[in-house]
Amino acid sequence: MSALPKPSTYTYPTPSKHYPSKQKSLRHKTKQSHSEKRANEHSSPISQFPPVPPLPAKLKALLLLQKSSLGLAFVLIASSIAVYISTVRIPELWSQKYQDLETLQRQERELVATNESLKHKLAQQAQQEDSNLVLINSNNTLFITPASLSSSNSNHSQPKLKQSNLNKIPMGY
Amino acid sequence: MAKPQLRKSLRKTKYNSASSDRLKLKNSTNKGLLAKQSFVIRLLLVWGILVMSALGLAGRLYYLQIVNPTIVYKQAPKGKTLRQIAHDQQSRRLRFYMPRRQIIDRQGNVLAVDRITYELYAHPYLFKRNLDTVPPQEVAEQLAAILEDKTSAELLQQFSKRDRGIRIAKNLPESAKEKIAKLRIDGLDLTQNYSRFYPYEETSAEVVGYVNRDRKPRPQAGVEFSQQKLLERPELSWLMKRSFMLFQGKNRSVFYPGELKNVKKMLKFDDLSLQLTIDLRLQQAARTALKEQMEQYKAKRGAVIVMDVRDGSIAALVNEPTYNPNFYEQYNLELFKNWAITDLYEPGSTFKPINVAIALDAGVIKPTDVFEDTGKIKVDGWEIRNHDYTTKGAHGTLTLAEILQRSSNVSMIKIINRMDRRDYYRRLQQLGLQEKLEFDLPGYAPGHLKNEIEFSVKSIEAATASFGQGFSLTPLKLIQLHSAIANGGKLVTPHVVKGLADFEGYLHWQPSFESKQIFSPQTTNSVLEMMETVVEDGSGKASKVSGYRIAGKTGTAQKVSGGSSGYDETAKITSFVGIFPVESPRYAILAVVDEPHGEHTYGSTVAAPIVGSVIESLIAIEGIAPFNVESRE
Repeated sequence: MSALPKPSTYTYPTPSKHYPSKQKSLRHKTKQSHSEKRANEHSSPISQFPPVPPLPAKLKALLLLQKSSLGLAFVLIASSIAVYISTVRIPELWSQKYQDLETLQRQERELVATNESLKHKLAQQAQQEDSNLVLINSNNTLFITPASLSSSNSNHSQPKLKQSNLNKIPMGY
Repeated sequence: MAKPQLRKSLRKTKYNSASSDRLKLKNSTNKGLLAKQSFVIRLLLVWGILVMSALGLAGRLYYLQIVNPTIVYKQAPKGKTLRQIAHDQQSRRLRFYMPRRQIIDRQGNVLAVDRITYELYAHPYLFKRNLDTVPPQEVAEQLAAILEDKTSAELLQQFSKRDRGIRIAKNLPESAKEKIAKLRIDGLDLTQNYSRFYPYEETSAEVVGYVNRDRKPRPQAGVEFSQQKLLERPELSWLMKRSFMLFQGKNRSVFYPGELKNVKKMLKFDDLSLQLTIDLRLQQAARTALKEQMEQYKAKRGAVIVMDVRDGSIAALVNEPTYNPNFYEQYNLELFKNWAITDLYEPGSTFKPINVAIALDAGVIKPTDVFEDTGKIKVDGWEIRNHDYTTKGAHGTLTLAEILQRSSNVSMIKIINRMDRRDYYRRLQQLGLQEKLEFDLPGYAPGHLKNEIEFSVKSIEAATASFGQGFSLTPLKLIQLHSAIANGGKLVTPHVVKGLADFEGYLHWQPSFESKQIFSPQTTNSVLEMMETVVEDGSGKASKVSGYRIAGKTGTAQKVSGGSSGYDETAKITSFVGIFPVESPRYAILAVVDEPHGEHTYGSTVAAPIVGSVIESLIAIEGIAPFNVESRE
């Protein structure tokens, strides 16, 4: 498997010859060049670190297997979470939220019905003779002519005048 | 010798070489070899049995899962395959409740709304609280406190009749349901229903109608019936996958929403409600006024219609007596029809302004013409008198306005006599008396005219028609014709549906209505002025509101007696039609009171005051200023 030729003697091989493999890292290279420098300075053969022996083919295969199984495990975990979300969590949330929606709609209708019933009850009470409430009629109403209209009093085609005092008094309904 | 033999046998039994080596070393004798052989056979046997049973199970599994036969199982539904049973368990057809649209009035008051009601069933044999038996007396007492219309004694009596499935109450509101649930008594069963609720009870019943409370609710009257298409939302249902999940101690269904398309469809409901042109305040005011007069004159029935003359929208439509749609089952069927729309009557003098308009339009009279009122006249051998001939005799020379003020029959005959009878008949037809009117409420009856030949040959027919007898129409048609007088001659389409409004009041859909010109504006203006004098100086004084210009016409017609063609001497129908305000007509108001009893029962005394108080309410509701604002300041 290894593309590295086994060195016969412990000499200082030229980097190009000694490290033909592209797999070697740059860091490794600089380390080596440092040691070369040191060796040149002292100019004496000293025993150097033996080159890292290439990994056995079996180990490499196992490493690859480990890496890929790790990747597979991640994929599986992610997919199982996704499956859980789509088959358990979403339906659960959906069912819950739908029930909430239904409850809210029911309550809204109930509220509308109660509110309108109350208005009706109030109106009925207001109609009783002992309620002491006065009906609005033309005699107890103050009609105020808008300024623009009073300047041109010929305009009788718009008899509906704005009167805030009328609109604020509910008749019950 | 032993070695190859052993090897052979070992190869047969597929033992690996390592174990065979071990065996070889241990069993070197023949005896040992035999023992080993039997061991292997036994091993094979056991293995074989296991494999066979596993294969058998696999085969069975294949049969059950793939071939999928009908299973023989006690609890399983008969004739269903496993696949079907699983499907039934795992999916459910969900029906999403789509409430019927609300009906709201002009101001947004909700006249009809869907709400949930509950039915209460009792099973006395199950009465328990926390596994302790609860005596029926206690249940009855606690229930009686919640249900207002039942005493504990009554409930106890019901409990003693049967031991299960007793219907105690129906149409219980949410509040009562919660109280009953709080009792925590087993054996009290609440079932959910949807029903239509009318918060304003009888106030708008004749317009809104009602929906019955059968298993499948059906609209029976009013707008509920006629506007079914607008009110009903289509029911939505689809098959959903489900599973079960323990949630708060209960096994609950969990649904799988599935495709987004379906969910979108479900959530895409609108909040539109059907808006009517009815004004609830006016409706109530008109009813109060009508009721008062009906009680005073002990009348059989009455109706008030208030119509916006500009577009034909009806602001109030009141019938008395009426019904409460929440308890429709307690009322006579007769009340559910809207008699102001469905019943024909002879309009009498209220039709005279229409006849004057016809004659003016035909050009046979001018607004300045005068007629000699002799008090009585002979037509075709029949003597026709004014209603006040016995007290006042002949009126002498009358202008058109005075004819209307005094409601002179004789002068009306003279006006119509100036016209060709066939022309008059055709003009009556053009008013659409006999045509079917497309009205929003069900049951409109087209009016009835005599046939053309009879009408043109006999002068008595035209003579009676001139003062509003001899033909019939509905109150609704009459007010439509008077609206034409008020709005410059346009025959507008009466309607109560304003459109579909959202919660902010914006209309998303509106019906369109046609109008047709039947009188010229000049004609209607002069008729309107004549009608104004009726209220100012004539028979319509009771409807007068000081400061306002009101036009009107009274009517007191004899009713056609049941069987024969004669008139009933005692029964009459009084009416008054008012137009308001004259300077810029907005509303036409018609009050009809059928068969009032007592003295002085005329349109002027019975019906005109109703119109007067409706106008008072209109002034307050709409904020209509008096005609001469400056003079009041």
